[in-house]
Amino acid sequence: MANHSQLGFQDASSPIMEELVEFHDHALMVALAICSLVLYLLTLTLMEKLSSNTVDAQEVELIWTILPAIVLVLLALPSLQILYMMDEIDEPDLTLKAIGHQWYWTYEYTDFKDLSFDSYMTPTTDLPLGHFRLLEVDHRIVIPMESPIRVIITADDVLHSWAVPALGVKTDAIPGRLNQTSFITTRPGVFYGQCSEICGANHSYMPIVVESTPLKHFEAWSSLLSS
Amino acid sequence: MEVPPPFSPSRSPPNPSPALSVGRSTLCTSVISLAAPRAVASLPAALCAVRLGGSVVRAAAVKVTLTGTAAAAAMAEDIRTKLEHYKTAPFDSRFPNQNQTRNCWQNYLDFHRCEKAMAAKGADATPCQWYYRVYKSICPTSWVTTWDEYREEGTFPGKI
Repeated sequence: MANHSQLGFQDASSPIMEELVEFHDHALMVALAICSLVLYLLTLTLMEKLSSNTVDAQEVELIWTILPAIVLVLLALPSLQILYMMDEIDEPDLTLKAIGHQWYWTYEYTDFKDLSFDSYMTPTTDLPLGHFRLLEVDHRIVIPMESPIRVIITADDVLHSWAVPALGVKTDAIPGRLNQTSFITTRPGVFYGQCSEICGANHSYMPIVVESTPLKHFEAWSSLLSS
Repeated sequence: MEVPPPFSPSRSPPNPSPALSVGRSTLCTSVISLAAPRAVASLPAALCAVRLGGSVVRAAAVKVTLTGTAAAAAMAEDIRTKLEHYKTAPFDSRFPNQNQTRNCWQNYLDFHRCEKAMAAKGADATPCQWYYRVYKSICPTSWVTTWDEYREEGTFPGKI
């Protein structure tokens, strides 16, 4: 989860999120370089140190056409690479269905048995000491770590969005449509997210919690759920 | 719960039972159909990839010509093996993108068409279980319940 006054990303816990963080750092450096150049030129202009030849300026026009084109290519290539990487669907080990309601999520694991449960936010009045306000839920999603997971996301009533920033996942939940996304968690842990599409009065109060555990613990949990 | 609108027009399959296509490998050219017992399948001398709903079952090949019934039995055996090793719905190249609505719908239809066709022939409906497993994995339970109710009422929008 994010800490108080955190500005940067949460620690990446999936390969895609690691790529996104790297790309963000790269794009930020490009933006910093451009801003520095513009600030420098602005300063020169204000100090009247820049001459202005309005008639013959072909060399500078060439530079300020080619250079931005190069910058755009430097941004586009990694961006498209990650975009296509996000769409790769390796053979998943598990399919999880997430169905958005006003104002809770329903999760279904139906590859073998019909396992299904609702996930409501824990009200602040019932929150145990040390737990995270507006982020904890009564029933978490448990998944095996280091396994490709396919998530099918839909909604029952209005638009919602299923997002977990640490895993680099955000997908809209649209009534009547099944949206597929996938992720792999690189380590065990608990990852928090919140509904990311305005859906009514309690839009801020329907969080998502993904608990990633070794396979044997996941199997134990699912046996418990099915009994 | 809003269920997806009926897709129109519903295409009826070329024959009452789903055709299991042998594809991808250029060496496999026959379409094996469970509903066409007189079809003859030839497996040329190379690895022959059989595609079923996106999954590939490789059949080690020698130059063999099977009769339709034997081919159907081999196919049913392949499906049983795949069902035993089923983890979750595999990647289906017919539905490569984010929107998987049609994937759910199509497998639901295919299962019930398969069951109906097998029942009409008095044949074993075990191979139909593949479609059942896939739609169970992908489709929300409430959608399946609603569609089952529509079928019982006779108002199901799909063609089965």
